[in-house]
Amino acid sequence: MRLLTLTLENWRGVSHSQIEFDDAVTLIEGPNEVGKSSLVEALRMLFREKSGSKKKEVQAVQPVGQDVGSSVAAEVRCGDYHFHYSKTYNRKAGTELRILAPRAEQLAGDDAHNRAWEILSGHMDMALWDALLVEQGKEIGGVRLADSDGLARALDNAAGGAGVSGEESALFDAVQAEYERYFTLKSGKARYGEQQQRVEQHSAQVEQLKTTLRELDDDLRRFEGVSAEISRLQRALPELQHAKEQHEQRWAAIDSLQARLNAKDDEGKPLQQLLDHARSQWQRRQDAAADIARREQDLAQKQAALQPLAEHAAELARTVQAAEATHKDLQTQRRALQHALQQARRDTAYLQDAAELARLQQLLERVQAQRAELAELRKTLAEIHITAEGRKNIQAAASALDVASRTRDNAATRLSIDALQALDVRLNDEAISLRPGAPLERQVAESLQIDIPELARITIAPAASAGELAADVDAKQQELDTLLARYQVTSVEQAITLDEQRADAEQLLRSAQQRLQDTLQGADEEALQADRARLQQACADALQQRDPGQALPASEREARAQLETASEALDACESELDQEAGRLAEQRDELTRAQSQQQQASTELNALSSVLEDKRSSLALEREAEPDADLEQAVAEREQQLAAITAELEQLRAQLEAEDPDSARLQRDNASQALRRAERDIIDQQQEQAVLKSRLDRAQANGLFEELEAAEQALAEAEDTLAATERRAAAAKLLWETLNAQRDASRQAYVAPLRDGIRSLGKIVFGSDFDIVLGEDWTILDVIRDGKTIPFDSLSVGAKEQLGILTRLAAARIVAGQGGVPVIIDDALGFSDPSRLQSMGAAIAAAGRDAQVVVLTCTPGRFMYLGQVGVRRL
Amino acid sequence: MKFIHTSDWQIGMTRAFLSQEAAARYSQARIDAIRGLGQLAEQHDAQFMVVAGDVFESNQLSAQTLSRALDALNSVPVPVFLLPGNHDPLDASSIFRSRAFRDQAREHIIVLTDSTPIPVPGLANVEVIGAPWFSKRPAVDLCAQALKTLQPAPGVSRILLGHGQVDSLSPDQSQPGVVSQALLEQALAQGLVQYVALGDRHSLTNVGNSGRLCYSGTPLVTDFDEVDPNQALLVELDNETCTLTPHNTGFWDFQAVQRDINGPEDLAAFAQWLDAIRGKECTVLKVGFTGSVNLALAAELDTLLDAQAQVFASLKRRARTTDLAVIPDALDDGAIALSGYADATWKALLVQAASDDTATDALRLMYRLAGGAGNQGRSKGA
Repeated sequence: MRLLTLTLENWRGVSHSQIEFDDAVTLIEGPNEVGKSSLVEALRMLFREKSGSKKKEVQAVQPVGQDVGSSVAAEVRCGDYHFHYSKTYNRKAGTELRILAPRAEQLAGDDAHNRAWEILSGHMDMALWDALLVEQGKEIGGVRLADSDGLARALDNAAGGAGVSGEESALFDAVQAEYERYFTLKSGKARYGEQQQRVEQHSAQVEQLKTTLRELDDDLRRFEGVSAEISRLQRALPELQHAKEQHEQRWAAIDSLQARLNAKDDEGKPLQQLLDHARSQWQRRQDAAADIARREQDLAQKQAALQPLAEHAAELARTVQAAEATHKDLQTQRRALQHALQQARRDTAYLQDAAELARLQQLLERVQAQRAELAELRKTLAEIHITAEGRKNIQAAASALDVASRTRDNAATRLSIDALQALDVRLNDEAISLRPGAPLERQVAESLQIDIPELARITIAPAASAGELAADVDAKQQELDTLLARYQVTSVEQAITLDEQRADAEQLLRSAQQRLQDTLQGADEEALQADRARLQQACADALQQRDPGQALPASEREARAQLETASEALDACESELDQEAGRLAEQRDELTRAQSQQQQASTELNALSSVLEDKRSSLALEREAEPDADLEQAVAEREQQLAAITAELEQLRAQLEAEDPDSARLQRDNASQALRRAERDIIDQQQEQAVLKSRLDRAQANGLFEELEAAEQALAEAEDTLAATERRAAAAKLLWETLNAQRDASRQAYVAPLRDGIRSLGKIVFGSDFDIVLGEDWTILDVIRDGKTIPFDSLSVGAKEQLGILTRLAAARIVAGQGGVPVIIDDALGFSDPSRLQSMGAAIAAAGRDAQVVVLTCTPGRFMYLGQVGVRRL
Repeated sequence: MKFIHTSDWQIGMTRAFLSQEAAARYSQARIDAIRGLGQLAEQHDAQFMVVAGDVFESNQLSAQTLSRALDALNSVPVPVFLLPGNHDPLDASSIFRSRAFRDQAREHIIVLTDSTPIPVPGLANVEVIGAPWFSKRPAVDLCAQALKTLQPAPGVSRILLGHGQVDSLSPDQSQPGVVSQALLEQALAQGLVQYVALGDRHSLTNVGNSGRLCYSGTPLVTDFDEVDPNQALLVELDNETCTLTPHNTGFWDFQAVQRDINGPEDLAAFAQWLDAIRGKECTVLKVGFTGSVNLALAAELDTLLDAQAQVFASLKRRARTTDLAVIPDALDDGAIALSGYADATWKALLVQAASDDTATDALRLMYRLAGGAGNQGRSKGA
């Protein structure tokens, strides 16, 4: 199909617009709202919607606020046809078709619409027409081409196929419809389950009826068996009856014999009792006599046994007396030994005390001497007053005096007088004789008056300072004198001597005190003296108490030896005494026991003899009443009577034994049981027979057989129906599956030319290494660029849109040979960059050489790269 | 003396291959046959009627069937002697002893419950002796047993009623219940009995050369393999002679046929043959086809059978003997045109059809859906 012109009148906002289309690419430019999209809408509506349509979308094209009809008119070439086709919607609605070629025709109304549709759909794949129309704002990207028979036909041609008639879709639909009669389309589940169920139901019913009939048959057999058993039992009854009677007769005879036996037995029973009584009386008499004899013997034995017991007791009493005497001796001996031991202990103590007393005496004497020495030393010390400090002070004062004297002397005017001849002078009042060679030297510390007798008096006065120094010497001298006086010494030398004497004395005193302490060794002297007094008293007491006749042991050792000997002797005596006491106690016990035995035996003997006496008198009384002979006689008589009856019983028993009552009874019982059992069996079997009969009667009236026949017939019918259905279903399924498989396979074959078409355009846009992978439904699955495979869905919006347009262009090119379908692109490629726009322009132009392409845009620059193009501006 | 010899009424029998509608008519036809026999007796002045066993198909029949059968029996104008056979033995559940039977059967309906000779009411010196079955599994030859205790009765005409296979015809002679032909012939020769009316074979069969030992066959066909069914015997017995005349009693027909179909002319002949059959509604056909046909012819055959199945009591293919090759050469005769993947589908199925009947069916379906012949007929039939 080729669009030649399109005219719009009063279409939405467009009052009038006419476009002439180029054979190749027509670019329609115009700003927004000028009515570009209206062109596409009108064109689509012209082909699809009848002029009388009241659809909302049809009503929507009426210009707002104007009560006018909206018209669209197109001039179209389609195969051999060339026609003008116009429609007015809403107001003054109408359709007009004016065919110019091949034969002039003029139609109006629905006839015109139908004729136009016939021409269009006869030459153009309307599904493809819809697919190739890119409306503004509609889905971009993936294109649904799979529904298009025209494309399929073209692709089939391109693939070198056998030719597609276009009938396949119709056949496919028919096959699918047939398939869906038997199966669900989605899950492939069979729809004739009801028929299968019916077969199963009938089958179950048949089976159940057959079972029932088999049971009926079993009942019949049992009935026959039971009937046969009943007649057999009834035949057997008389014989059993006869046998029973015979056995009962035999038993009756045995029974009477048994009765006689019992009677005789009863007769014997009282006799036996009388015999027993007589026997027991005779026995009692004999027992009593025997008892007395036995007791007499016993008594004699006991009396004989009493004498040795008494003798034994006396013997024991003697032994005890002897033992008591021995015991007393030993006690006396022990007392003597205890006394000796005590004496030995006192002696020992006395000797120890005496030794201690001597030692104490000695110690105290030494202490006395040492105390005297101490007193001497203390006396010496008391006479010396100088102390070590005093000596030091004195020595210091003497030294200071010396220093002061020398200082004075050095500072004083020195007077030296060398006598040239012996001369006596008077110095102050001191007479000095001078000799030659022995000068007199003097310090002039104070006014010195030298009187040379006869010659002169020379007075020499010292300087003033000499007086101070001299005063210092005086002070020092005074200090020294004071100190000497305080320590009661006369001179420094004496002070030193006395001090040394004091130190010596103190040393002696300390060592004397040490010696005293060593002697005492920490003991209190008074306590020692008390001890000495106590010991002196003890020794005196001991001597006084002592038996003067006995010699005192020589030494402490001897005293100890004596003590040990006494102690050992006492221990031995004690031990012997213990033994003797134990023995004595035993002997006393034994004596007590023997005496008690003797007493007991004697008592028993008295009791026995009293009992024996009673028995004797009682037996005598009894014998007097009934002599022994009478009793013996009675026993013999009874025994005789009983023997007679026992003999008769024996005879009867033997008779009974011969009749074998046990087996007779067994046989009688058995015969009677057999008869009873047979009778019972007959009743049982008759009952069962009745039950079976009633069951059979019921079954008979049920008409089971016919029911089975009817069920079998229904089953056969159902099975036939199912088999036929299954066969048809299998055929439909196979056909459906084969057709699908073949369709998919053929589509796969058609994929190649479409892919080639898209790839050749795509190379212009995306470069020479561009390739795609198409699905069986001809949608693009993957895009391959630079050797990388990218899923279609991962592409950018721009790329998707570009590929969508390329797919349409490629499809349009492929169907171009069969009359072609125009590609209309409304306001697309908004997401493409300039370089992509450039290459898309080239691709559109390339497609335009084979197919009619109409591009609408509000952005003229977007398609400036389109080379061969007829531009229309709105 | 004239009487009707019949047997194997099999009242209550149905056939699974019949549709429900046909089955009802068939059952009714068995009842109707009783009335037919009554009319036959009346027409030919027969004095009584003997039924040699299997009066009923089973002892367990519905009250309805029994009542209808008895109603028909009661309408028979002559005494009727009924012998219990293997299908309706005199066992504990015997239909002859059922209350319904005893209540409804009139006096002239006489059940042979033992082998005591029973005089025919209204006829002097004629006795009927039965060898009834007491269970489905007889231990002995029942006829021989009946004859053993039978005392000769000069001047009395006796008819023995027996049921079961005679040893000369039985495939398995070791069966305990098989009837000894020799003994029967001996009894006939000795004059102990004058005629032996046998039942059990559904085909009219004259046994031996005596001319007095016969199976009457069933009065209404019950299976495809029966020879001369639908008959009853009119027996005329005089001192010396015994004349047997078969009479038609049923009009149902069971046929198993085999047809060879190799071209349109064979199909046409078959259609003509079918058309010529009279009483189609009482005709049961099973047809085996052999030969080879193309899809168009196969479709035509389907159409023909589907259409005729509506007319006949039953018309079925015999699966066992059908070997009809469908050669799918339909494309060559231009009946349908296929292209593209449809064409590929056709070819793929064609290959598969060589070994797979389902593929042939698929082809036939495709042929039909693509607008080939038999379109209307099939869609109706399906």
